[in-house]
Formats: sequence, structure tokens, C-alpha cells
Amino acid sequence: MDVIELEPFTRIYTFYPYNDGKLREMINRISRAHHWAEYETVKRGYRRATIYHVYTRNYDKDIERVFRDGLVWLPILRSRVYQGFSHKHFLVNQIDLNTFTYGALARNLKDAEEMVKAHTSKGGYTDHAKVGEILGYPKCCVEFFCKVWNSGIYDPVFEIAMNTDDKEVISKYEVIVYGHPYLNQLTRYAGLRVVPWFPCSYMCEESIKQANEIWIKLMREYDDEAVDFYEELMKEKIVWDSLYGVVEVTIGDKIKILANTYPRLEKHIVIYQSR
Amino acid sequence: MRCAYCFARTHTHVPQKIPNINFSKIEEQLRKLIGNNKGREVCLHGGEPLALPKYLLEAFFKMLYEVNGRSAIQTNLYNLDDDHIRMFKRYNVSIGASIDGPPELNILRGFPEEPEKQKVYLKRVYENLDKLVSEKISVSIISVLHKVNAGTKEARERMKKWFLELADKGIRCGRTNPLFDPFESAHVVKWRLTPEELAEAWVDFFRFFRDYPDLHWSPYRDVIDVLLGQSVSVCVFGKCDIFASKAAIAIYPDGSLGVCDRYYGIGIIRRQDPPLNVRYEILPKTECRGCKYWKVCRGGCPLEAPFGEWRRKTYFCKAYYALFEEAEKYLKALMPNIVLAHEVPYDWLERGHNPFLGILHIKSAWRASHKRFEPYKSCVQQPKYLPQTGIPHGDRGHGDWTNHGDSCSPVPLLKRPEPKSYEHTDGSVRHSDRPHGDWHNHGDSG
Repeated sequence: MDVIELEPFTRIYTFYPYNDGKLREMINRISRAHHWAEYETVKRGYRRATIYHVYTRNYDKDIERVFRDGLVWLPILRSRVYQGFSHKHFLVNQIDLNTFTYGALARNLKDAEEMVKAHTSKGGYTDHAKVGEILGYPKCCVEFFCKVWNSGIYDPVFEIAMNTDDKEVISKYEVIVYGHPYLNQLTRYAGLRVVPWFPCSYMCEESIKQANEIWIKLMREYDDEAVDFYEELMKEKIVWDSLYGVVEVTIGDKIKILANTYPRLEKHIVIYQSR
Repeated sequence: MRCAYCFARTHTHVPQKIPNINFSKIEEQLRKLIGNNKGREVCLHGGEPLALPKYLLEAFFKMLYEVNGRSAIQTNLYNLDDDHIRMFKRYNVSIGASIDGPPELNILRGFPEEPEKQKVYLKRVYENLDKLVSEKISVSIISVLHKVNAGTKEARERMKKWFLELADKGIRCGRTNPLFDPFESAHVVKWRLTPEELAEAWVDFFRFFRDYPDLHWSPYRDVIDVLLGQSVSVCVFGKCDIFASKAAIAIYPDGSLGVCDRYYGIGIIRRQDPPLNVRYEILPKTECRGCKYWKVCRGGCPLEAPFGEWRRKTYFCKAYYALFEEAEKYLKALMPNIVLAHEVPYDWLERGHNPFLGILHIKSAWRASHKRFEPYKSCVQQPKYLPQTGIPHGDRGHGDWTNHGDSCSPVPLLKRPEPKSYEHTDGSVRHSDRPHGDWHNHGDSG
């Protein structure tokens, strides 16, 4: 088989008779709340650093925000802008309005420098364990991520399900998993997520702890109604299936998300039911 | 009706009662879609649209007439009465009739589990068909091919006779769609043709229809079109994003825009334009890799894949392949020097170039001394004298088109003369009937 390399994309569809405009608005609000929480966790000292994209088109506002908040930002790489979801960046030499700069946001220069170094320390390759540590992700999840990433799987939704205790394995490629609503990663292509890392299992205790103590509180602070909506949405059955580099995620009978993903030659299915 | 193969028995998301209909929003969408191109194909689709109350039907027809000047309806004709005919005439409505053959082969539709009721059903359907014809209302046919009407040679012979009977009435256009249920429901699968059976049926019908230039049935006409590189073909050979189907734009009761009705077993999803091309990036690298006919077939209908898995190729791949192979053989028997669409580079075709037009630039369609005209080998752009159509495939509606204009004209049906026994052959190559012996380059001599 040839290599399947699709241009990054994310599409969100809604089903009749649910209100299209309302659903889209709420998805956007959840996504915004999550991004805000990512920034705030650094600003408020919950973790040392995060990745922060400065879009050339909006650089003045982005940099102003960093300065006003007394934070530090160091560039790591330049990428062209892409639509939707991507698992990698598209490096460019020249900056133009169609580019952004991927960089480390921290409260001090030392942490930012450490994050930059972690991206190039392994002979030009990223030291994922170090990056995970600086980002404040649970140790068990960092270890799990390094393991699956090194095996080439860059979208390990299925592998996390298989690593979760509370599951029913239907076949080699299909699993029903019972997970915590805040650890769901199946809908993240559309920005619908609470924790920004891949948990080692959908019931990872350390991840649930952080989600409850930090992430969901911050998101609620930003947009309480959006979080209510997210929690309602997570009561639906979520079906994630991946084939030939395209993932389809269906949330109940309301929403479908399509995105590019790690190409699997057999259709893999994860059915997520929140507990 | 409880048709034997209806997927809605087990899978449907279609509302079971008439939902709130936002007429003003629907009209607004219609006006946007039609713009200045009045006369487009706008069709009331079901379910069975004639099951709607007449006041609603009339409201739709009236709106469509005012906005578009015409409309169409896809129906099994069972509920048809004089009021409907009056509406069809008044609002310029043409009919797509869902009939699977002559009465004895149309038995999977209309109360198949209740023989007495089915008798009534069949009687009414064929009487109503005759009534439409006598009222000079434009009719075309969609026949679903299944075990009953295409699974045996005898059934296919009867179907052929029926096609001619229809032609005698003036109905000369139609489609023969394979029965398919994306959910593999047992009650449907038992009637579904296997890919091999469908291949046999399609090839058989192709050979039949090629003798009747006045009969326009799909997919037999369409395979010729796409092999010739014609820019308009039925949607199954086009690039179709099921989430933004080009050939079928639905308008839902709330006025939002939707997708092809083949998706409705999965859900009533709203469309999102522009279409994604990902299926056509995936398939040539996976399931269609190396296929001779990929450029013209494009994996078939995305929802004809097992379980409606649009990332995969059609379940009927073998049948499509056989049909293309038969059509290619036929065209090349007629014109050995012809260049067909699947033989030219994909990007050349994608840019709207038409390889068939090359035949106009050589002096013989068959002599070996007049080689095939293959401009794509020497230049990227098509020469000026070969017009570029620039229209992508798959922009024609499927199944319910009615604008042929010839569907109800009772003129004598043309049939090609029966082929006489060939005067001579060299191996399998047929010579012309022109005296020969005065030239050496028949085309088969190298």
C-alpha cells in the first residue's frame, strides 16, 4: 500500500432536527474554554509551561497578551497554517500571513528554554518524556504516550481504550470502553476535550484528579454553560472509527466529526460510554 | 407498503410523522440554489411522496413551479389519482416511477407478504403508469435489480421484453440500480445480487441496449459516456463526498441543506460544502490501487460499500469492472484507434480534457497506419482545437432525471439490424464489409 498522507482537515456535521447553529456555537465555546484553560494553567502556576502558537496574522495581539500577563514565550518552529487537526507541523523558512510560530509559553525564561531544548535535544528529535514532564502531564500518561508514539501510532485513541480496564473487547479491532467524561479524547479533533493530553487509560486516576481539580474548574470559570453542554454531550454514546487515515466520530444522533488521522488498514472502532 | 427490501424497516432516521415544515425557509434555499438557472432538476423524494396529504403536495409543486418552472417526483404510483395528474399537468411535474419490471417480477414491492393486497397494488401501479402515458406526462423508470428480476437468464429476458414494451408506450429512459442495503439486513441481503450475478446481469443488459439507439437506460449509457471522457455522467462515477453530495442536494423540513437520500439509513445529516476529496485520495492507494478503470469508476457510490463505509470501494466492484470491460470492448471493436478516458493520465482527465475528441484528428478510426491521437504524451495542455469541457463528473442527478424530452414521444423505435454472419475474421478481429484486398494495413497486421 502507498503511504496515505492527507492534508489536515476537520469537518463538523450536525444531524436534523437538532439546531445546527446552536450546536456549532457550543462546540466553539467549549473549544475556546479549553484553549483558555491551557493558557491559564501556566499563568496561574499549575504547570511550568505549555505550547503556544503565535499566528503571524495576529502576532501583535498574541505577544501583547504574553507581555501583559508577565509570561515568557520562546519560538520553537515555524509552520504554515493548516485547517483542522494535524499531528505534525509543516515547516517553513519564511514567515508570511499564512504561517504561525509554535513556541513555549512559561512563567520564566528557564522553563521556556528547557521546553525548547526538549524539542531538539535527542539529536534534533523531540524528547517526548521531557516535554510531557514540563507540560505537567501525569507520569503514567507520559510513559504510555512515549511507548505508542515510538511504535509510530500518533493517534492512539484505540490503544488507550485497550489499555483501560473497564472495557468490552468485541473483536481485535473493536472495543467498548467505559471512561471518565473529562478524559475523553475521541472528540478532540473538534476541540471537544477537557484534559489536553492522551491519558494512559480512560479511567487514569491521576488524570481524573487533575481534570477535576484544575481543568474543569478553569473551563467553568471561562464558560459555565459550555461545560454544561459538554457534560450533556458526554452522556451520549460516542463512536470513533478510523480507516485509511480518516477518522469518523459520531456523538449520539447529534454530531459527526471527520478528521485526518493515523492511517489504519483495518477499521478500528472505539465506542465510548462515559462513567 | 412494507416492500421486501426496504432498509427503513430496520434502519431509518426519517421522522415517522410529518414534521414542521418551514416553507419560507425552503423557498429561500430553493431560490438560492436555482439562482438564474430555472428548469433545474428538483425532485420530491421519499419514502413515498404521494403518501403526503394532497394540500401539502400541491403547496410544494406550486412553490417549485413558481421558483423553478418545473419539478419531478419519484413514486411507486400506487397512490396516484386524477387529482395528482391534474397537479402534474398544472405545475409541470415529471415522474420517476419506481417499478422493478413487469408485474410478475415487481413482487418485492407493495405488500409482498400479503398476496391479495399485492394483487391490488400491482393492478393499480400498471394502470396508473398507462394513465400517465395516455395523459402525455413525462415518465422515466427506476428499476432496482435483485434476485427476482435479474438473478436468472429467464428473468432478464422478461425484463428485456418489458423494456421494449415500455418503449412502445413511449417510455425510453430509466435506470437499473442494484439493490443494496448499507446495513446488510438479512431481509434485504437475501434479495441482493452478488457482484458476480450483477456483473452477468449488467453485461447482458448492456448487450441488449446497445442495439437500441433510442433507449436510454443507465448505467449502460453512462459507462460509454465516462469511457469517452464526456463531462457529464451519473453520480456513481463521479467524485462524491457523501457529506456534500453534488448530484443530490436535499432540503430538509427546517430549510437546512442535506445530502443524498442514500445516507438516510445512517442519519439525516446536514451537508457541508465544499466537498472533501479524501475518498479519492485514499482509494487509489488502497482498495482501487492498480485498477485499470479507477479513473472512470472512482470506486463507485460511496454508500454502496459494505455498511455504508464510504472510505471503501463499492461492494459491486466486480460488476462495475465487468461493465466497463464490456463497454471498452464494444467501443474498441467499433474504433480500434480510439483513446478512452481510463487510458490517459488522471490529471489530464481531471483538467477536463476529452480523450475521445482525438479520434477527429486522425484519418481512420481503425487503421494501424493512423495511430491513436495521444496529445497528453507530448504536451500538458490540450491543444486549442480540442475543446476543454472543464466540467467535473458526477454533476448529473441520479435516477430521477426527466429532461430527456423523448420519454413520451410515440415514434417508432429504432433497432439496429441483426448482425449478419461476418464475412471473414482474422482471429477475433472483425473486418469491415468494404471489399478488401486492395490495401494491406487492416490494422490487425501490425
